[in-house]
Amino acid sequence: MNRPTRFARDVAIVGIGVAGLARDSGKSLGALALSACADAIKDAGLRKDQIDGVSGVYGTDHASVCPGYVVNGLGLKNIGWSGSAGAPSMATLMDGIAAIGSGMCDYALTYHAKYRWDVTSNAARNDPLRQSPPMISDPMLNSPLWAYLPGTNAVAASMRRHMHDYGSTREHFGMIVVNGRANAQRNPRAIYYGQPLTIDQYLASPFVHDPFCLFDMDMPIDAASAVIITTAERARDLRHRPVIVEDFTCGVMADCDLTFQPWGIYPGARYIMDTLWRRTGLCPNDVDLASLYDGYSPLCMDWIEAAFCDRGEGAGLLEDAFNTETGELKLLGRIPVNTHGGNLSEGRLQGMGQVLEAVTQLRGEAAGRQISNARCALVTNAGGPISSGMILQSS
Amino acid sequence: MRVDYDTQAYWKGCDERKLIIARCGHCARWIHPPKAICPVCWSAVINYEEVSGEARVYSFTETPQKNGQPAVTIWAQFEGRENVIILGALEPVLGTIAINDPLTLDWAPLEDTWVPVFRKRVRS
Repeated sequence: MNRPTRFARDVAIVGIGVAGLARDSGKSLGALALSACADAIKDAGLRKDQIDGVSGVYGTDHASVCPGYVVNGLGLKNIGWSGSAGAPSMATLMDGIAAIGSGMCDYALTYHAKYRWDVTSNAARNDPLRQSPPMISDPMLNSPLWAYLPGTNAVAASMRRHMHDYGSTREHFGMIVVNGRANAQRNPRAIYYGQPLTIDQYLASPFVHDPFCLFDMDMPIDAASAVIITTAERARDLRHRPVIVEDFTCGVMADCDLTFQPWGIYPGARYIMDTLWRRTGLCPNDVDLASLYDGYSPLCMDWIEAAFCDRGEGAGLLEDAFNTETGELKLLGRIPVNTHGGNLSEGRLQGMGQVLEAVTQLRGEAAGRQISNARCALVTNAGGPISSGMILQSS
Repeated sequence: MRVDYDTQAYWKGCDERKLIIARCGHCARWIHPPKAICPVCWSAVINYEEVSGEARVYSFTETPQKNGQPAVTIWAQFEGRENVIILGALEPVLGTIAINDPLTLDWAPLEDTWVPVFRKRVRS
């Protein structure tokens, strides 16, 4: 599809909330989800009886919070639209955008909640309060053949293949990690706030699956986030400067189940980026801020290549963009990446951190790390065959 | 591990130390992991064929172990069937391994069946 999504520019993000962002929040996952949702509604300046749509992420790799829990927990009485979403996390936002744009509801609450369950964290295995409930369904029907696990390992295999095919090195992936850490030093809620990292420290960190080290993986945490969506017209009456949805897309790529097709997420990311540029008429140089999914550093490499250059050109682009003094990336000499630290350094919000940061920057409210005159943000999200992308504009 | 209607031929092959790969009965496309319909032509006629163990390293990872010897996981690409990639451990782990190294298939016991492992093949 080449035309702009019909109603995209009529939709705005008007509220954001976050809760937890800690290794051990001392709260349940449900408590975090409710807290983030309530904060987002208050941030928008809305009353709870105005919320008439809800959609959340609960079909990803681990158990999360269903919309019914949130509706019950917040006492929302007027829900006339609900969506359900799997990965990528941003899909729930897109459900909300579509619901608002098509008029199925007036104010949509979308949320994502992630917990440091026993299945994601060695340290949580013996904690009786962190035992994960059973999955609703097994999202990976390929798992019968996983005699040798796991997803993480397959990303490491794609990283090794990238290094072989395109001459990238661990230093290049390290630039992505160090950039996140450098930016996290200006984000007090980041899990790695106060803990900068050098390329040498990255190279010396222990391998989890060589060539993949500990810092190539995001940090499991307890966190929930929420975003309120309404029409651009209604948004003008609310508290914050609205952030306009320029366009968005969410895709599923063939021939990429990662485990048995371990070439990373580039083909899907490429398709998403081509679609976004085509629909919006924008190009990489129009972007002031890149919030690129970085659940694993090789996935961020795939997004950098898809969004700003081409397959195999990421290493060269990063060399030009990396400031060895500050540890920061400025793509094309100008565009910062993951100014909040990303999943790798702020914490494992599974891409929703990228959304919250883009909104905060476009509002002009990123205290201590505000990009001057930030008007256009690229936000991407993916962890496997599923990929999504969105361009947001300030108003 | 879990067996279902699509994967039972694969696992039955493992029981007998044979690598059984699904193949479209109409357009001859190899399909792995096995599925009930060909992704290319949508034929529902799926055959299961034993394939030889001649493969190459598509990629690999080395996972540190407590004994100091890393566990090497191989993604093996089968010659003439490039869209078929099988995961297996490298045995023995001693020595070096590189992308495109030739491999032969072998089997190792796991629970009550056998699973693929790979050995480096001497270049001929």
